[in-house]
Amino acid sequence: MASSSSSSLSRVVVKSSDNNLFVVNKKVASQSQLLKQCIDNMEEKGTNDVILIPLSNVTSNILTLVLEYCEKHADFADDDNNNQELKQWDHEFLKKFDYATLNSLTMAADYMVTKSLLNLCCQFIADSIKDLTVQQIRQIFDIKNDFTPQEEADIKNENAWAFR
Amino acid sequence: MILNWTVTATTVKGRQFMERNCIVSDDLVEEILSRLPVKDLLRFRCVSRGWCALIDDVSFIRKHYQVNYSFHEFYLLTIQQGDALAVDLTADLKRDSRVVLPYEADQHSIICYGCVNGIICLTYRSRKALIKDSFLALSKILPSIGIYGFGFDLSSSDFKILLIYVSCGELEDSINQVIYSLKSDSWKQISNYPADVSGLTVATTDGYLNGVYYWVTHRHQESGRPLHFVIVSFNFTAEVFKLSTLPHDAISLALESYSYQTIALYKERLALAMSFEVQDEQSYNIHIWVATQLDDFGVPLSWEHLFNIGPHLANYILLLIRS
Repeated sequence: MASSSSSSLSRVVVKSSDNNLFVVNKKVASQSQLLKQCIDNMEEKGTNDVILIPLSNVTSNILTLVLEYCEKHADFADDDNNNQELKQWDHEFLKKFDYATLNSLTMAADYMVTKSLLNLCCQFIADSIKDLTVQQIRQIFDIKNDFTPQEEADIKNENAWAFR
Repeated sequence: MILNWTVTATTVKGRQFMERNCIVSDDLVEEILSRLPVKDLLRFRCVSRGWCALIDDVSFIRKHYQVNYSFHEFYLLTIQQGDALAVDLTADLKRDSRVVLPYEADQHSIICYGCVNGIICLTYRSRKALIKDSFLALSKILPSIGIYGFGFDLSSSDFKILLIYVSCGELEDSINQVIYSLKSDSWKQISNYPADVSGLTVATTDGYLNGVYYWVTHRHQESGRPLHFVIVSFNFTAEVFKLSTLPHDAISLALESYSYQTIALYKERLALAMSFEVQDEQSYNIHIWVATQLDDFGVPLSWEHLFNIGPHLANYILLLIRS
């Protein structure tokens, strides 16, 4: 197992798509399965060198946020998942962002395989879009209405109660 | 020395992320939508062809069900200051609780027929009109003389209600079956209920699983002979009734002593709970079985005896409570 290896790494360097470097300690990086996989693979090879992990899909702005999340969650890694303080922190953390940032953060969490952040983002977006109108949804997700007026009316009539 | 670790963007998601300039990918739209209450989903079918197809997709419906039963807590149907409230089980308690019985209803006669995909179905009897039951789902109130099962048709994404009632004729009583579809907002007569099986049984709130409603009843039998129990499976898509037998050990136990039986769900599996009277004692033994195999239609083919409890003083099983 990697954990028993004598050549374990303590830090990794992560590079954002706009070429900024972030030094991340291993416990924090391990919150992302993608980074953890890279670290585990390198440790299996027995290297002591610092590894650079380029993330071509994540900008520095978003990477900063993901790492902020990972850092906080690494601190609580040994606690049980229902820690109220952590839940409160999660909520405050996401509350600050607009939809564009939330969407990017969700994509980054998916790409970096940070499952808990992905779940958190999806739930947060779901909670904030329920009760919105169809028009508002199209605006937020930048979706073009490709129904004819008649088709849209028909679909609406099928479940008219849901529009009240 | 710094080693360059190459992360290949193997996922489609990764590429879309770049191309579509921070618009979430279809996979993530699915993740987000699967966390929404049913009412919002039905409204968002209007957003675009793509969203409509996704929301109507059977695999999405299954996913939605699974996500909502693992991410959310269950809430209760509560009665507060004379109003009966139906609480959306997939949403925030305070925000989504609302009065669903719009006028004064007799609180003691409200019966809940279960919750499917976050929608509760219940009946109540008004003090003012004692003969007529009314039936209510969502914001809809329908006249109804009783209700049997409430479920979801997976193939047409439609909530349906099964109603079975016995009408007394001059020569003999007949069993009638009708189906209500929420989508078409109409009742429809169906007529394939097995002729030799009793239509009367106690409805359970937990008889619904994956598009099929289950209950236990018995075949018509001469008086004095032991009852021959059968399990009825009603598939909300095919709208057909199918019969199957109890587990073998349940049949032999039922021959020896008086029993009370109910269909329940145990860890998201179809379960049969039976309580058997212990002779000369005021106590009962309770046995639980789970279905180990269902056919394509949803009919249980085989059962496994899970455990028995007792002798117990309870005279019958009220509910198998899910936790």
